[in-house]
Amino acid sequence: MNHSAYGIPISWFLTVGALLFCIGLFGMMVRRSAIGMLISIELMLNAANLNLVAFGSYLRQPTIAGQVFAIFVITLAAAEAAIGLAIIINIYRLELHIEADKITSMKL
Amino acid sequence: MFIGNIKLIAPALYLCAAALVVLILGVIAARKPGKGLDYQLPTQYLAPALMFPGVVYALWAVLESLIEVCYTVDVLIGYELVRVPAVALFVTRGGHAQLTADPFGALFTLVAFAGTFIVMLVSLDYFDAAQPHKAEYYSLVMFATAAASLAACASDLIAIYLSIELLSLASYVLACFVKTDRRSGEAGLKYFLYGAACSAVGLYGMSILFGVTGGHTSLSAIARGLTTPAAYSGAAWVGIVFTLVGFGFKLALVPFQFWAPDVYQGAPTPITAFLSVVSKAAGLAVLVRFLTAAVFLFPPQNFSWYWILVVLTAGSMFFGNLVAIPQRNIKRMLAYSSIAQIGYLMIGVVSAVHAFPSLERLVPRLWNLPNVIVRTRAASWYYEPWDMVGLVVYIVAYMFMNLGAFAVVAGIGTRTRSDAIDDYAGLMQRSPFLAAALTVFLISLAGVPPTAGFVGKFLIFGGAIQHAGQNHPELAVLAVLGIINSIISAYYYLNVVRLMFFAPAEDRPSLRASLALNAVVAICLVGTLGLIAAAGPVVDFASLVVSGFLD
Repeated sequence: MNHSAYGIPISWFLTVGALLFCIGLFGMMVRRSAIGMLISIELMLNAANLNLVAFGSYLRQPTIAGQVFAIFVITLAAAEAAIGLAIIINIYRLELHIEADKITSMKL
Repeated sequence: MFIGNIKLIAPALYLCAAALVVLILGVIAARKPGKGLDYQLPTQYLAPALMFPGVVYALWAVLESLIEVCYTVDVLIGYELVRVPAVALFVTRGGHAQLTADPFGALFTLVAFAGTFIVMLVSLDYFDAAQPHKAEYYSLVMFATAAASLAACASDLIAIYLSIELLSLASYVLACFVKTDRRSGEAGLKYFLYGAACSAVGLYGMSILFGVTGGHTSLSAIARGLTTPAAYSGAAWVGIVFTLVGFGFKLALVPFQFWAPDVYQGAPTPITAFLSVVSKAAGLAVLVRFLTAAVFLFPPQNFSWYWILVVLTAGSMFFGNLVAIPQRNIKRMLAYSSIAQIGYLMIGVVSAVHAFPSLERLVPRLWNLPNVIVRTRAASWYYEPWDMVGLVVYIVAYMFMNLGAFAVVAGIGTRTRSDAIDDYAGLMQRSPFLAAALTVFLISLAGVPPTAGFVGKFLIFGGAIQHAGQNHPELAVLAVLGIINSIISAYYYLNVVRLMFFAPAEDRPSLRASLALNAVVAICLVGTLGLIAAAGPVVDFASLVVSGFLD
């Protein structure tokens, strides 16, 4: 793992990625609004993207594969957000709120 | 890039084209309701009609890949001449394939296709003629099946992630397909939120694996990358465990099972059947390919995540079976039962990882095939291990018996407007055929002898005990726990049978099953009861399929 021309070691990128991931995971656990959970998921996906791009350019043999993977993930995240928002709108029409933990029509 | 033998994934391509046809015809029909194409080609008949050639095509692809897997081809990629297996597709520089359409993947494709065909017949009976958006429904099911087929062949992290996500995205929408039903909406929301979160965790794990193995996404390259001392770090451990979270969610393995009961209960019953069979088959194929690629270079005892998997396997069986006992809703009961069933299948998976030899013994072969490692079965000189054979046979048996059970539940649910187990009382008088069929499917799920479930469990537990003899005592423990759990599960399965046959029936009209429902139940009955009659040829065929397993 060598340094780039800018002198920033890769560990900085990985730390930011790990922080983003932890914030996303934390948000996923404490958020009750479905939109908030969706935002947390996007944070986790972007943490992975940051990792992929950083590894791709900092490895001993730099590879394009990391950036290609990240582009696929970005595209997929957009599709996921679209479907997620559609599902949330649907649930809003049915329940008139989007608090995920209050939607419990099925219990034993 | 070397494209490879594209006809091996042609079933998936055919299905994508068929899904587009269904979607476009549906849109045209929706613009002019009541006349024209809508009358001539109703989607609910067009989709199974297009699906059936796909099933035949997938069967042909299994036979084709059994032939192709014996060959290699020399191709020029970049400036180097690489020898690649004839079943490798989209081979990039270094000889790493994106997809490996080996017989194992082709067989899981066949399971997904046949399962979807059955699900379509169930849907035909389940949704009435007035249900809107049928074209979208059937095309989404077909896209999801194509994704499952690609996932079964994926041998690259990018391919795995994309195919699993395509399968998931289609499933999220299908789970909340009945837009006016609160339960369906809730099922869709929960499936989406938990699914997207778990797949994000899995993706983070993949990004770590990508880094610690030196920037490779191909499973064969990752296996090679993990042999360097640097990769023995905790980072690789974290990467593998996080990736397993993503796969564990798809399988509803125990700590990631929390979504399953609500989603299974709330989703339309045909979609519940789809999620419990097709989606799980895809997840299982990906998991087996990932584990055998990531594991086999290590002695598994060095990597504690093997033990995590062993514990989760036992946990899945016990959790699923014990929580299923007090359930009052049959879809919810079958949801917990399918969590337990995945536990049985996982016994096959954890014993399958022992079936492959270490790298050192493979070195002579590596000279011939530099980057894709053909894993000859470790012990095939003196006996044939049953682990993977059991896995393949059990997934086929599971497809027939679980889809059959859900078909009966869907049929009864639409006619009585209830999924409560209490409403199955006296079903014998009201519909003898459905009651008898459901009895067969439930005792098959419990693993009672004259059924397909027994053959599958016998092979899986037997395979675990074979490996237990080779210094892996934990597998014997798992096999014993599996047998204990089969006995526990018999309690709640047979409780439904007792209600149907011996509980006093209220005076209610008899149920009339439609042609589609009778046909699908008959297909599943033939599969469930016929597998044991054809057990010899089936096992021979299954061992032929797994002997050509590439990573």
